[in-house]
Amino acid sequence: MIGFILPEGVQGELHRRTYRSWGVSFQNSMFEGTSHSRNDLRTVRVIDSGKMSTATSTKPDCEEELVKTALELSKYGTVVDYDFPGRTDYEQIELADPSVAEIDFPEMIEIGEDLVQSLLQIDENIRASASLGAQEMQVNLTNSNGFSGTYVKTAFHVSLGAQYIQGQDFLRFGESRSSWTNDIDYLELKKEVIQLFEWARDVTDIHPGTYPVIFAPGQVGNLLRPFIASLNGKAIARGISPLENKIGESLVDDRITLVDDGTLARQISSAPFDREGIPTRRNILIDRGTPKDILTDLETAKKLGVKPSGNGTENGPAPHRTILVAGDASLKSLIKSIDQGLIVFGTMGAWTGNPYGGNVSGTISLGLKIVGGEIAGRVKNCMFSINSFTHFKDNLIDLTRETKALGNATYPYVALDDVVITTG
Amino acid sequence: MKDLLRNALKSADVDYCEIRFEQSEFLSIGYQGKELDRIVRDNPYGGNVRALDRGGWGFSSFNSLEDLKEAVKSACRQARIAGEKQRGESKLASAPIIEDDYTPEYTLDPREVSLDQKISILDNYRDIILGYDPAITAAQITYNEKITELYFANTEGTYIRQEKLDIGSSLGATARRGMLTVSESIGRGSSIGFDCMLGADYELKEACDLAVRLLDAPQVKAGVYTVVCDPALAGLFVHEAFGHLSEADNAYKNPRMAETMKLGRRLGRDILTIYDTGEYPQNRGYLKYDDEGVPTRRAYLVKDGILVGRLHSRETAGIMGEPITGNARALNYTFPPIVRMRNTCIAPGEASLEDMIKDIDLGLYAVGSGGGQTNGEMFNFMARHGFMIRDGKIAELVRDVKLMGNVFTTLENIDMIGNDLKARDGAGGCGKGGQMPLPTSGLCPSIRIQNVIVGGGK
Repeated sequence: MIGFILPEGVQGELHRRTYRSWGVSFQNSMFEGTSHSRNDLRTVRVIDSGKMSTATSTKPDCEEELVKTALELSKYGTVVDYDFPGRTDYEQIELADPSVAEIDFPEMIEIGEDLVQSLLQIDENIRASASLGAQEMQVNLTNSNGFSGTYVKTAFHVSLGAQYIQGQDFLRFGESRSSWTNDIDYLELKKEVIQLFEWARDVTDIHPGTYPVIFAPGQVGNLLRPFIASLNGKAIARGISPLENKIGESLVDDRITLVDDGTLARQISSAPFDREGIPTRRNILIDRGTPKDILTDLETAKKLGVKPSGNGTENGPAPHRTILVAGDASLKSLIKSIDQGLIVFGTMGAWTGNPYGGNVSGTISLGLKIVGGEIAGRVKNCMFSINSFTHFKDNLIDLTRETKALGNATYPYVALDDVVITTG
Repeated sequence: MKDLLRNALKSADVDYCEIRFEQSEFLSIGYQGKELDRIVRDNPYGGNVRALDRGGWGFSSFNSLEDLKEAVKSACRQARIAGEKQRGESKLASAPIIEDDYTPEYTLDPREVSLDQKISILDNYRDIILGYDPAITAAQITYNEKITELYFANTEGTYIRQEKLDIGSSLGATARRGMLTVSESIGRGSSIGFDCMLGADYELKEACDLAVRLLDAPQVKAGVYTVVCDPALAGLFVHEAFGHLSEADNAYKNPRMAETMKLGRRLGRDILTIYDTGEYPQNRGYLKYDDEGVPTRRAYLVKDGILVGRLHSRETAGIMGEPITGNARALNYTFPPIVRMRNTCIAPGEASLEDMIKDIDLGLYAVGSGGGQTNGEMFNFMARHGFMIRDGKIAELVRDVKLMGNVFTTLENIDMIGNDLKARDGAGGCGKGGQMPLPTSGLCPSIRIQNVIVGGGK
């Protein structure tokens, strides 16, 4: 069934991912070109005498060569004390829409032109960019212990952004959408991008200090990075997670519930089973303020003495779709409630640094000042700094009921108090 | 291969067409915690066709050479659709027609070093890290080695076969006490030899020492400081703060950007000279030909404080009427080339580190390169650690050092340039347009910048 012969006592696994993607791009308000790609990637892993190694290639018909390479590497391989899973029942999830294959270049170009024009109508000096891309992907996984699984996914991505330059002031803004099918609400996308431009057009200043700050959904992942990294089985197994001994203890505000879910139908981030053949599931990482589940693959699950959570990837455990459960506040009421503060739509460098310490800081690339409950213009040349572990414990103002589905996450707006803003 | 590619190009009925084909051998070894965590051999194999017609581009990638003819047809068909929309003119700056077969002169070909030897060298580094202090709970080692055989042919008659080596490595220690986890690492990299991986013991022990000391170091206090950046951080700074802005695809169809970045404008003081180059084979940004088959050359961007040039692909140079520089690069065969940096450098000055620090009452000495990002005007970059400067002297160690600036004021605020030129190499790379990590590096000295915004605690 696996398609190649292994020496006795050796376990093997073949993972194959084939995809076709095509798309169009617009830059500087002009149509730039089209692209079409195919890729066929095969990966063989073997476990020989308790050591695992990996070989991978895009060369056609390379399986035998990969097995040979993996076996040669195995004497140096990672020491493992688990087996590849055997025959496993998993539930198929609806992840592919055949109609995606029918989205052709002329249709994409027409949509792209409309998106670009919508911004130029607001101000002809905007340099708009847009991209539309479609993808079909098939995954096959088999192993010598009897697991065999396959699934097909489709995806459609659209982004609309722009640059607006006035002398030495560069304003960049934009939004993107992803879906398993061609159901993107272009009108809403245009409205959102135009709203950002109108809010951000005028520059205002802000003094250094501490402020209440609303982080837009696109920025929330940076704030949650310390939690997601620290609840990764690999960090716990390596002894570097500060949350190693905090599972089951109250850690942050009880309005925080953070979920990882790979089982959701019609989501581009879902899959019926992970890279190793373990069925995906819903993991409650933080349950009303208390760390609960950790993300594991076969290796870390074995080391930690737990069941694998279905989060195996090529590079250790990783979430499928992280969901921060929404709150009750409306964005409008949250803005209204702030006398002096910020709402942040864009940051730079907030993803850098050691996540395990909890400190998160970055340059605010698109931040709007709130004065007396109203948006009062864009701030520049400033940084924010928080410690996620303490701010989500002591400084959570609220979570909005409005959420946004990003590529592999769904987050509400998050308002934190006492955020350090540094400016020149 | 030459005949195969040239024959395939004969059917290209567009203004311009090119084929790239690569077969690579990639070895990745990783240690996380106490053990070897990953050993992978990868053989990326595939190619692409890029076609240009009346100013519109088409691109098609493939895995099997049997699909080459179909890919030429597909890319040309796409280019004609794009050209029909553009109804413009294909403007590629002229480039020399090259026929070359190039292999670098290796100082130590990694293929001559057995896997046993490589593992043994990395095991030794792992043992140094884990044996340094009980507070160190994990070693984090990455060793990536990629040898690529790259073929390029275009409809103008250029045919190049070049071999490329890229070694990138990071050797790091993670220390933990209670809720506090810190890490420190050193980087290694080369385009010509495995010898870059040898003799790191002393520097690695220094990194381990810093990791342990960082457990007791406070978070830097947020504020505005005079900052002295060491050569590695200066390399990251010039890459983020200015290198990306000098990529001509920002400006070639954007008159306002072209006006703001008009050649001849002053951006810094007379002491500041910045260039990007394919030279320096000991570093990861070395390149003989770019991915449009253009020979690389040193491109001065700022000379004596004045903006004098920018980085180009053939299209951006053609449209802006400026000389080609050999900066069109693609991560691999699944991507078209875009304008990217190679080794981005600041020319050395005359100041010693002591000169730079002695008149600072309260400042920050920021050390090591920890990643960064830019939006053109503003940028963010992170140091591995820092030391406060008090009364002209290096004082206490601080952690979580992130800095930001605005390119138009920060370049003007560089008031001293050091004489201590060093390269910045490591396991990571540059990201742009979804193409990451592309190997880049740079030779830079220490620099002193006034009024830098530093994020941190209250």
